[in-house]
Amino acid sequence: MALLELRGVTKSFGGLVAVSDVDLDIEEGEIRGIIGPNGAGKTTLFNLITGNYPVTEGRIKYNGEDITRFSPHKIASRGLVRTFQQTALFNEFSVQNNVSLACHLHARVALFGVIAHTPANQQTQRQAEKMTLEILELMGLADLKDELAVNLPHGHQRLLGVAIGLAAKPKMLLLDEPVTGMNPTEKQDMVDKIRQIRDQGITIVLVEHDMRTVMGLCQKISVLDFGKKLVEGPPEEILRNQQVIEAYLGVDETAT
Amino acid sequence: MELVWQTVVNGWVTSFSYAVLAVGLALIFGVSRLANFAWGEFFMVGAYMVWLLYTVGGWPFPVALLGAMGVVAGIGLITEVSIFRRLRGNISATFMAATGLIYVLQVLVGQVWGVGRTKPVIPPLAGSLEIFGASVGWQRVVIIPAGIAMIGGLWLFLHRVKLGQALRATSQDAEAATLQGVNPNRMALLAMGIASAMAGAAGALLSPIYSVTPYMGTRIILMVFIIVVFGGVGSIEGAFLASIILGFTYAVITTLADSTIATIVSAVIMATVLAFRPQGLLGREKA
Amino acid sequence: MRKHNLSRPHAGLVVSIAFVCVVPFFLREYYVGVATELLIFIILALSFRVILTTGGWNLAHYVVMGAGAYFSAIMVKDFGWPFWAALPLAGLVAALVGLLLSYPLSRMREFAYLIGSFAMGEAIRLSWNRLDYPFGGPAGITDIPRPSPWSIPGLPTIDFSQAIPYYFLVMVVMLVCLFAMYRIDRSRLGDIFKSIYSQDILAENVGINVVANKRLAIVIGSFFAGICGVLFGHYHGSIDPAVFSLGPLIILLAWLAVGGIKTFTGPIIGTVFFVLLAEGLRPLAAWRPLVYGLVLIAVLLFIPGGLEGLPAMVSTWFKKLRRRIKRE
Repeated sequence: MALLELRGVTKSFGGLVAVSDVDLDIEEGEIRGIIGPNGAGKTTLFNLITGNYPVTEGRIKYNGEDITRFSPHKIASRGLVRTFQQTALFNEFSVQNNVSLACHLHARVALFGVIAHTPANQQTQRQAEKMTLEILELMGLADLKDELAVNLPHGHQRLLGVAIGLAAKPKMLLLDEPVTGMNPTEKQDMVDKIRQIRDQGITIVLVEHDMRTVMGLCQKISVLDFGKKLVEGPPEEILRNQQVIEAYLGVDETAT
Repeated sequence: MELVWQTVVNGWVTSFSYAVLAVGLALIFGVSRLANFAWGEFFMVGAYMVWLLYTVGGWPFPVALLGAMGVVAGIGLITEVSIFRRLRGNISATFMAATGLIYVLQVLVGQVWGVGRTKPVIPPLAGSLEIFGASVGWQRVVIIPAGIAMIGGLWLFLHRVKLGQALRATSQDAEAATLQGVNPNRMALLAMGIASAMAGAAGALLSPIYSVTPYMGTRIILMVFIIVVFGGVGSIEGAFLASIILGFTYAVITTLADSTIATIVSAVIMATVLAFRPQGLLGREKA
Repeated sequence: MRKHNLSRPHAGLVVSIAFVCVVPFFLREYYVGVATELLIFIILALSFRVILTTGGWNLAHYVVMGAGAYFSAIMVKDFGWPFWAALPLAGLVAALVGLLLSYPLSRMREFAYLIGSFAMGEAIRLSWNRLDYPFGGPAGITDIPRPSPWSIPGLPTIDFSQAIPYYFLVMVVMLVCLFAMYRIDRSRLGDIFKSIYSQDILAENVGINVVANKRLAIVIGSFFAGICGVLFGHYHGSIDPAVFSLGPLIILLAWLAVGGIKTFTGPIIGTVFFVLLAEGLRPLAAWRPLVYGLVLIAVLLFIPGGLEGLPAMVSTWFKKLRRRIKRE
């Protein structure tokens, strides 16, 4: 049984069909890439999976549970977490606070404990702090922990976005364009980190435009165009597929 | 039986009285995201202009009506340019500024023309509409054709005139409209001008019926707010539909009980519906 | 993680508390009353801020305060309850009213939230106006008694019907309330609220139940508003629906808009500013609300972010000025 199953997922906004009858199966431990030209419906698909948009038709199952109608925070509590392309960070908060906020999911908060600063409350805070620092170490952001998120250079902001996702203790992480806007060194760094995250047992699905990253990182790639799934397969097949090439014709120069 | 017809006519009178105000407010919010909390005061100024021009100045009522529309439209345009334009995009700030405006308008009107007794406006239309035994004053009934004319005119403008179509597009999706080359400042001015004129007209037409005081706006505006939210913010069609539904509800309950209970019931209906459907009747589903 | 330095209180805080304790002895009785009201208003402003930190101007807040006031007035005057029992219970009643309102509110956005909350608050207020029993209709409830005197052996009797004893009662309640609200604000829960204000969609996607937390913020804010209602009602001795109407609500909003809501002290600054302004402008009589409206609009246009941001704005302006001078 696949960890994430989509059957016939469709989304229409009024007259516009953004995602059309998409089937998808993601196995545990995979690193899956989802690619397609701009407007293909990739981010919309993410929004549907995580409950940010309601599905017009179709079913989504995660870990055997039907999550089609679940709200985003409930989906996150099941271990399915996503990052965002824009509005990805709590801008006014420090790097450390950004991550520790996301630890909330697994740190219980009791109102009285908060006011009276009870031992239980203090214990919860210490655990959250420990987990936060571990994640920051993993993502290489530990030195910047007191910087305001909005002041970080772009590459570090993307790393922070992933760190926030990790803090929610996911079993599956959906990354929305994690390397967009990064220079080659930063990209390689992120790719290594994504592999490390997968090696810790987290299944990864990423939407990306950067072909080299996707081809190098993902074992299997699904291609979307005009909201429909075109083809699916290992990178070498996708690169040579005629339909894919046509869909991208003249759009992306790195896919040689 | 006459009571039924009475209520039917009253229902339409109430619905259109509110619709003229609600539709304008919905338009302004859709186009420039301004929650104009001072809307009742715009209405009030319209009523005062009629008192000034018609009762005191002796001008014919239609002239006073146009004067009221012009003055209130002017206030709308001035405040749009001097205050709201500078705060555009910040819903809390524009709302707070409108709130400050409430006091400014109330005190100005009150201090210039006195707070004590209500200003008399003798109904220019005497007599009543007699229909199936029911009797409703013409002054009240006239709001129906006036409302149809204004809202109908607005509908035609929004659907058949190019500038109006641009306005409609902006009210449905301001960002997309801007990307297509529409000037947001012009649209905001246009929306404010049209809506304020309608509010002024409402104040003018209702001045013979409601007591004219600096605080008359706060009494009528509550139902208008309930209607706009119930209809779905930013949706002009929603505001109109909600005006009819809640207008009739209000008229019926006022006949059976009283206007306070009618208002409370309307608020409860709004709150209950919105608990399950936060976008109201015809509002946009938040993507 | 922010450190909670409870063992090293800020020097300014100590000075402020000392000032607040000492000042009534130097004021005429009328001004002790003004100061008492000011302290109540500070609790109210901060209770409103709790709700604001999740991003919503809840315009029913003043009515919720009224719910606490009416509850206490009725229980103490008509049913003979002791003040000290009515005080926390009124807070709970107000919190309950807030909870009911929060069901539609916590899912509304922007305009609908503003206008919808106002409409619901007004509906409640109108029902007080409409019902002579038990709310007293438009005349409201009068002869609300102060708490019974305290006789502590060895000390003179503390008579709460006097200005200064009641002032101290309010002051102690205020310090407790402010402490609680401050702790919430600086805690994880406060961070959660601010994260909702910052990026509500992101917050939802990392597992924060935004709707439930917005509801919680409303309940907490409403509780403290209820407490204010009790203190207020028993201070003035009478309440009626007009006390909790649009006019006073506008002034509450002005305190926050002018003072600023980003920091905990912003609303305090705004409230103090406005109360002092109100006292200073008394000679203007009926023109006062006009000045309030103009001050509010002026601050929104020229000091966005409110007075709390003023020091930063001024220092930035000075830096720019110095750079300009250096260049010339």
